[in-house]
Order: sequence, then structure tokens, then C-alpha cells
Amino acid sequence: MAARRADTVTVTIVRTGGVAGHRRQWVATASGSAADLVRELVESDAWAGVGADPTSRDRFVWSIVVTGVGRRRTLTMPDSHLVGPIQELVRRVQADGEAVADPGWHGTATSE
Amino acid sequence: MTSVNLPPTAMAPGIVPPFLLTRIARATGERLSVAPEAAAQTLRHDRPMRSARISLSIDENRTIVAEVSDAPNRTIGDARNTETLPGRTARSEGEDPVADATVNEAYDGLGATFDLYSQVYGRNSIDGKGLPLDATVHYGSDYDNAFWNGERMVFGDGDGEVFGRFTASVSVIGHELTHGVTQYTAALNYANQAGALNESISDVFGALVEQHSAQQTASAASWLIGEGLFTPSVRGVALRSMKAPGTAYDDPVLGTDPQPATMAGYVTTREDNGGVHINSGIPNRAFYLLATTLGGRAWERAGQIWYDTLLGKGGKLPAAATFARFARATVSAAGARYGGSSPEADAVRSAWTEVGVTIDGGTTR
Ligand SMILES: [Zn+2]
Repeated sequence: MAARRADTVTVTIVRTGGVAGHRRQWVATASGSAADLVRELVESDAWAGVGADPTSRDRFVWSIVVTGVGRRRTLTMPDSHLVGPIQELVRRVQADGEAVADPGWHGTATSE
Repeated sequence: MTSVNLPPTAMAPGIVPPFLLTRIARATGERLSVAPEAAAQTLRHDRPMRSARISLSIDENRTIVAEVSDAPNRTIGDARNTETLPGRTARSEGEDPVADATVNEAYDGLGATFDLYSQVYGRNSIDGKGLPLDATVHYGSDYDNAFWNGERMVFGDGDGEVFGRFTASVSVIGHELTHGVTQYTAALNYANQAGALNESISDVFGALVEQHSAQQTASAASWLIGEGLFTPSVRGVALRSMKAPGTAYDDPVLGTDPQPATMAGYVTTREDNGGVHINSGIPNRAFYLLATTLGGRAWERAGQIWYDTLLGKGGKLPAAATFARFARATVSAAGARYGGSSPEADAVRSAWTEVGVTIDGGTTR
């Protein structure tokens, strides 16, 4: 994996679901040692081992997209599995990042 | 509901607790003999394993009539802004209101939901067997959500900027509890069209809980889900509108209510488990159309048809049911209860047609 690394990494958090069904999005960039921590995280077991939540209803669904780490990395996980370092990353991006207003629905309207 | 006729001296000790026996003994001594017609009183009796509501009255022969009906068994926990469940017990069944309004809202909302299912559809709680109703309030910090985790209902306080506390809406409490009912009945998947049906069923009965507790007719009802959850700074009235999907809010921060009202606006997406909270607008509006076409109290005929469908009385619903398949089941359920050519069955067919759902297998009777 000799892909050229960007100086900064960009983390996008997309939260969907919930009883309200609102789509919320936050974006933050990291550089220096913070970027290194994110690069470490996407290679770790925390990033790999995420299960499903078949019984919950109306819980949030989290999507974490990281760019600037070689290939683009995406992780989708149920709210109940949002713990540990991934949760820390999400909370950090929500707090320090930019909330993207009215991001629109990421899908396509189709007629039947 | 069981009706038990008992002479005053032979109350069955297994059914009525001692304090009630004392009360009856005192009452029959004088007061009831004076004005028996005014002596009817409703008392709630709760025990850990089996809850029942007992209402006592005196009939014309001066016999005490004890009516035993199902009653909820509620426990409200307080997570105290952590994400640990179930939290410290804040109020249990039969206890007086506490100082915390959120706890009381959850308690009352669960009671209103229990009452709709019990009094209207004869269903004893989520599983039909008196399952205790457990809820946790004050979950998480600034938590913008309410959910069902397979065993309990969980309510956040909201962030205070967009959302206030989620217990503020009876329709949302009914929505969450209905996810439990669906889990124990049709067990619809939580993805794509089956997931949107799962969501819609929760909205339908959430709205009916509100209408039933207010004794509101279909034409008088708001058909809003989650009215009053937004803070005053949000331009919006509720989370969703069953009457006019896509019109519940239009706000610079939240965006515009994305719900379609017909199949022409069906959204294909991988987010939100395939847009379950988006496309539910379509079956939601079908139910609204049915209820308002039939008129009167929506929980009576329209609600009965949907409840029958959930129970498989319109044929067993597959877990991956599509809108078209569900529509067929509602037509069958309406036919089974009211007749295939009844106004009810006709109204069901028209409702689905109007939202652009082609009924699976055609509109055969
Ligand atoms: Zn739901």
C-alpha cells in the first residue's frame, strides 16, 4: 500500500434513522498527530469488528467516512455498537467539526 | 374482561386483596344500601406477576359485581443522563406521580397505549400476555431520540436546541410501544418496504393512542406524529404528518420533511435501513385516507382492519412484505371482518389506489 498520503484526514459523520428520521452530518479535518490517530484507528480492530443490531427499532445508524488515509474508508454501524474509540471519534467530530445544514437526502426519488 | 358475580360475604380471596375486602365490608354496611346506584367505583389492583383492573358495582339485587380486566404493569427507570439501562427505578405501577414530569409523562403515555390495545382490541400488553411495560427516561446526554431496544422503550431529553424531551408526545410513546407489538405479531423486517411498513404501523397506532385518549374523531384529529417535540425555534409542527406527508417541517437547520405521500415519490436509499422513516409516509397516508373516508373514530374500523392485518387475519404477512403485499392483506382483513363488498373493504382499496400502491394480486374480492 504505497498510496500517497494527504497531510490531513477528513472525517465525515452521517447520522440517519432515529424516530425522527432526520439526517444529520458533521465534517471535521485533522492534521499532525490527530491525523495519525485517525489513521491508526481505521486500521485497528475497533474499525473492523462491528456487528448488527437486529432487535432495536428507531435507533440511529452511523456512517463514518474517512478520506486522506490512502483509500477512502467507510464504516456503517448501529447506535448500540457505537462505543470505545469510534464513539470518541464521532463525539469529537460532532463537537469540533462543522455541522452541515440541510444536507439533503442521499438517495434517489424513483417512480415505481 | 371477566365478570364475576359475588355476594358480599363470599368475595374470592384470590382475586381481591385484603384492603379491598375491608373497604367493601365497610361500604356494604351502610353507604351502599342507601344509594347503590351511585356506588360504582373503579379500583386498580396490581401484583408483580399479574396485573388486573377490578371495577366493582352493585347490581339491582344488591350483589357486588366485580369485573376483572387487564391492567398495565409499568416500571419507569431513570438513566440520569447516562447510557446505562435500565437506570434507577423512578416509578412503579400503582405509585403516585413523582416530582419529575418526564417520568410521569412516560408512565401516563404507556398507560394510554396499554388502554388502546386492551380496551379496543382486547390485547393484553405488547405480547398479548401481560408483558410488563418497561421504559427508561433521561437516557444519554442531549440525546435526540426515543427507541425500542427489543425489550424496553428508551427516551432521551433532546438537545434543547432542536428537540425537547421525547416523552412530551403521546404519539411517540405509542409509536415505540407498537414496535414491540409488531415484534410479537407480524415481525416485519426493519429494512426497505417491510421496514417502512413497520414504521408506518407504529405511526398509525401512535396516532390512534392519542386520538383514543382524547376521544377525537378522524376529522378532528391532527394526524401528526410527535407534535410538540420541537423547541419553539424550529419551523415545524411535528416529526411527520400522516395527513400530508412532507409538510411537517421546513427549517433552515433541519431541512424539509422528506416524506413522500405517494409511490411517485418513493425514495430508494441505503441510509436509514433503506429509508424506513421516509417511505412510511406512503402507507401512513393510505391509513389516513381510509380513516377519514370511513369517518368517526379511527380506532374502531380503520384501526381494527390494520390490527387484524398485523395479526395475520388477512393472511400471514411475510417478514419481507412489500407495500403491495401488505395492501392485499388489508383488503383481505377488511373483507373477513366486514365483507368483501362492504364500504370498509372498498375504502381500503381506494386508499391504496390513491397513494399509488397497486394491490398485490389485483383488487379481487
Ligand atoms: Zn419507529
